[in-house]
Amino acid sequence: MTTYIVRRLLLFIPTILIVTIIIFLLMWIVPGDTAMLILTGNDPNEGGRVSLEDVERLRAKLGLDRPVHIQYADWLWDMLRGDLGESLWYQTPVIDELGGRFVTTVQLAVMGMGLAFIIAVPLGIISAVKQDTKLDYISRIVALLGIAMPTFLIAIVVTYVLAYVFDWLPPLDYANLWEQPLTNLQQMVFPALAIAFHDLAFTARVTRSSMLETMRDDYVRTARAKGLTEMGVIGRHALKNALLPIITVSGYQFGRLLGGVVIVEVIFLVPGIGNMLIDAIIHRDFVVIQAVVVLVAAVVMFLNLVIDLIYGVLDPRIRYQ
Amino acid sequence: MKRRRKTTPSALILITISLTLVFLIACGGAATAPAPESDTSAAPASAAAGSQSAPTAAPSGSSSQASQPTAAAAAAQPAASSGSSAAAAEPTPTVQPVEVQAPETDWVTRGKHGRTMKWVARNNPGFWDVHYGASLTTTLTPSGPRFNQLVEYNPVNPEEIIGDLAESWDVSEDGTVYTFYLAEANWTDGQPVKASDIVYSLDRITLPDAFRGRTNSLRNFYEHKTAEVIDERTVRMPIKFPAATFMVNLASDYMKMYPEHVAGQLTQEDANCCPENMIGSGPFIFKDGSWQKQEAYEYVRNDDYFKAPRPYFDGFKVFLIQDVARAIATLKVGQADGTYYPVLSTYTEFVEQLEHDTDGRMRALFMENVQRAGLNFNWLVEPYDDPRVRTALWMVIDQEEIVEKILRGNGTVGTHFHVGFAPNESVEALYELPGYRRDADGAKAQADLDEARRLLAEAGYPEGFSGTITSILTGCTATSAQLVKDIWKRELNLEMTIESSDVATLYAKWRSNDYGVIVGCGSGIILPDPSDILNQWYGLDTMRNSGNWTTTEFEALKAAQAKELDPDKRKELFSQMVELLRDEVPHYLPTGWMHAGGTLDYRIRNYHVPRTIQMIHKLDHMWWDEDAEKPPIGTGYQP
Amino acid sequence: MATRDITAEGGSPARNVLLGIPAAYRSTVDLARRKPLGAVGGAIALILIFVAIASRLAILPVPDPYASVGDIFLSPSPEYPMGTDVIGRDILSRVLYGTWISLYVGLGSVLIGITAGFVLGITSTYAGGFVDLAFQRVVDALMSIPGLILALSIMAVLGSSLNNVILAIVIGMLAPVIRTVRSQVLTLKEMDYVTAARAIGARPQRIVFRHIMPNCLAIYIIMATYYLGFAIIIEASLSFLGVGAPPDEPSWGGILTVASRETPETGIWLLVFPGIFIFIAVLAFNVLGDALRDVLDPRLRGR
Repeated sequence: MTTYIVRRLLLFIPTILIVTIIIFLLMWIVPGDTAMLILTGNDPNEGGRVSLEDVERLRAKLGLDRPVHIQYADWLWDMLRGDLGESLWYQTPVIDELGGRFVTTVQLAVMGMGLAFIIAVPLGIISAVKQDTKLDYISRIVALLGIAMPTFLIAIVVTYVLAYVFDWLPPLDYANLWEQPLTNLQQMVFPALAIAFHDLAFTARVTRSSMLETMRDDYVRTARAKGLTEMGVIGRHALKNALLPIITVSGYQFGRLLGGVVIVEVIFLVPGIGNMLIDAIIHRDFVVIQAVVVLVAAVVMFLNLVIDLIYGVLDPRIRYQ
Repeated sequence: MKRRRKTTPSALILITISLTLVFLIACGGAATAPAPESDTSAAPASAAAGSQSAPTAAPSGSSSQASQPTAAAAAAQPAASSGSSAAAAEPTPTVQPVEVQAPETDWVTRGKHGRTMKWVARNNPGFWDVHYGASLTTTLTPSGPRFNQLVEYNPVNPEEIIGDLAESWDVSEDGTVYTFYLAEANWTDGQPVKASDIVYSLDRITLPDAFRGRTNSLRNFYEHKTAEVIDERTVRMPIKFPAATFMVNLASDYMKMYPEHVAGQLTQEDANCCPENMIGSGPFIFKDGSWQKQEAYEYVRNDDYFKAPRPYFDGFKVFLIQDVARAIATLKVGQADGTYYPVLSTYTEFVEQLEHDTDGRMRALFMENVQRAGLNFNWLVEPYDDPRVRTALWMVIDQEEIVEKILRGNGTVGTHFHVGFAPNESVEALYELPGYRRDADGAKAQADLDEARRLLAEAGYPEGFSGTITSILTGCTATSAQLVKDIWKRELNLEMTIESSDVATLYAKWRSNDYGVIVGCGSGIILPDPSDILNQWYGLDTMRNSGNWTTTEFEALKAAQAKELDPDKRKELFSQMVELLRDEVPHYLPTGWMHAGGTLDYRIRNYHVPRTIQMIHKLDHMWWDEDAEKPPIGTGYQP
Repeated sequence: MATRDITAEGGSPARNVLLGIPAAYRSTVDLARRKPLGAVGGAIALILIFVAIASRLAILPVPDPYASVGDIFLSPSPEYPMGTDVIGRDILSRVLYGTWISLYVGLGSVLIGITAGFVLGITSTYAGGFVDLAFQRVVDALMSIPGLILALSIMAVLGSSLNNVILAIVIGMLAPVIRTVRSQVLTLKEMDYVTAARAIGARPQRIVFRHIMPNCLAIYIIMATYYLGFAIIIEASLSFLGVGAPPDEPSWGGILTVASRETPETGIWLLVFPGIFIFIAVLAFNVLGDALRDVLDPRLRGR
């Protein structure tokens, strides 16, 4: 067990390194650089009289004219010393913002996943128990509604309905959960719903197939044979065992959400890392991009490890090598 | 439940779809809105600063005993009256000179104090040093209200240049030495504003080898380190030559005055990064720690402002909302009092609808003809190196169609310089010219289309050619690229593909001349003087002219207009430039001039739409009047 | 490793599904009878393919969906049943033609992405040892980079075109596909008949082609169906983020993006019609995928 954990943790290192190299290479070949954007204000219509000489001068000042491997080595060295660097665009330390934004995104993801879970698991159970009946079809269609629409469409429609039908929108000015919980919930519930709506299909599908599988297992058959009621069979035996893969898969899904709620954050004005990331990409601010990606990657990998461990504890059939 | 009714899954899908449909339609509020009624709706709703007769500011000295600065006054004909909606209602610009209105001053005592305003803005702040910043939205809009200039455009009469920190000024006989007498003012840390601060700021703006985005034009007039302190409150500022546009530039909102004892301690990075690092003398004070990136920032009132009783607002908070639909929705439900800066192109096509949607609470306002649409040709590569090709491609474009479809009526046809500037440039006169002609039925003249085809054939492309239009994927840049592509295919048989990207990539291509045509839309003018066009589009080694298009004659005219003090003669020089540009076919060919739109609550009083987006950013003249009368819907914002 | 992917379980031969026309016909009928929802999905998919081909052959109300034909933002009328768009093009024609674009992007990315994922996954698993270990780290790395970063950067590097959108989607889907394939192959390798084949001295290539590949086919089909819907959604999201297909391409996502930049008064028709098409298409492919999964995945084949 310990060896397994140590081995997994050690494997983090090459993976994170590969992540940073991929990002660095991408940012290196992506056209456009921060210096240019700083001088033009990142507005397609404001770049008029920027002199090309000034651009070169600023590139040198920001260190963007150095060879890419030197830039990478410098960045890595700073990173190892715990210095995430300063945003190229804002010229403020990345670390100042990252923490708070990360917490916000985690809150959003937790709320989204939670809502999805609450709705999707019953839907999945219904469709498994009533496989190939009308109820199955209805619950499956319901679960699929969200995945069949791009998130931005859901978000825009929600905004339109709130603004043009109810003449109301969640208050501006993001409030922290622990400072003004009520305002925070008003602001977060709609983006969370949009995420939940989108994730319904996934969780419901996993629940359904997981339930179908367990219900065919021997012990469930035994339980049935013993004369337990159908509800008893489902609740006591099937669901208990089916939940394991559901939780596992949701865990992985959670990791995916951390880096993937950008559009929802942008439209619903949630100051999370998704918003930060898209801003950084627009500005070609690779210092910020690197910091966010490394953080997300590390958290996701750690999460996966924890899930695997929990899985192993709960399912004695798994053996760690 | 037991009985199995034949509900097929497809029926379910149909029900779902129809429910969605009903849902969507319901949220669209009946969704019966017609296409924007372009010319009828734009004009009356507009509170723009007068007709576009003479876009050059006509500075008329300071409010006190200032002698008339001959050089500055020389800029142009007296301009149109400002702020009067009657003038704005004129659908087509004319060149008739209009009397300058006497500056209204009694508003200062009518203003009411109170209320913290909430604004909606699109762009994030980037750099807080106004001298450095190259962009309106990342620098001036967020940072401007903290500072004063030496002189400013009169906020209630944007044609006029009046004193800001300078109470009055003198100009020497030969027009090369300005003497500024300062008002009694304090920085927000309580230190007095001294002549040495002004000299410091002028030298900071013109610092050699430092990047100076929008302030670099001062270098054309002022030699670094030549201004002197005469006494505590008097500054002597020599300029390189008697210049027509010196004051026009100095009054620009970018020419901010900084306190030497604060700014002198800051590195460029520190001045840029953090609004907390700098103070000014302006009407509002930045609220420490209020900048949350991609979210909001906040200003509070400067109680010690030297123009008491201004400012009137207790402060204001700016909410940064990237998504335009969300921003409009925010205004719709009353979470904000207006757009910020009040007039920005982002919201132009939505503000009239918003006025209806909010039952007249949010008023539409427009600033006319302040942005350009046009074709940027890479004139170094085939086939665009042939002037005939450039002319043909430009000539087939129906500018009226651009105005109707892309600008949704919020614009007019135009040419190289500010609409209506040169004597032969009125819209009526334009319709006589190739490229603008109309047939009897009002459609684009067949003669122009034939001429374009002839030119293209003459250049060796009778069957058309294929190429790439470089564009970005959003905004009117994207829509105009599509329309232009369609027109070229329809009329000239060109097979163009649109290559779109984000701004950074577009710039990278532009800089390295890695493009064929860039269809531009929305490029804003900075100053209400045609020299601004020369600065922005015809500078050498700049991004918009990365191929360095020019001719000897053109350079000579450029130099001559800067020194010409007689407004009529200067206008004549620009007329010559227009002719020359018509013959020589430059790298940039205009396809229209567009208005910028915005919206303010009707209870916000005394906002007079300036001549360009880049002017009057201090907001110290506006106030909130809870009891203001709501004008009828559809009439736009009234100051 | 304890990782399990739900689409990757089971693995007994599924190739009888594709053995010949009679078998295929029989299984289709079988599918329709037992999985009416999936059958409806399949029918819709067929209709969409038909619409795509028809629109490609310019059988459209307005033959050129790229041409500006009228005023902008007209409401639906007999002449333009879905109204006109931001530069005055017929929305109906664009949405219909969008079927072609969306299926082109969807099928293109799915065929390339999943095939590449299979090849890479199987190769890496069979290479084993250090190569596999290193390759898995790359896959791990790709998995933990937010997909958006990858897609946005790739589009920025390559420039916007439909084929580049396909490439961006492919790279985004590669890592999860490789993961799934890998766990599938690992399971198969341990299967008795594979062990038996190895015992009698079959060469690795033979094992791969005779035993592993056919077993993976079921997974391939299921994943392809799911990812088809996924690709359509991703294409739309890329458009929304400003890096998708060129703006004049009438992809559903592109039309929706234009709508999303308007207020409901002007944009509603642009929002409704392509929205419905995306909705129906993705829904259809998903229920079809579910049905195929139920049928092809042996563990669920009980009923």
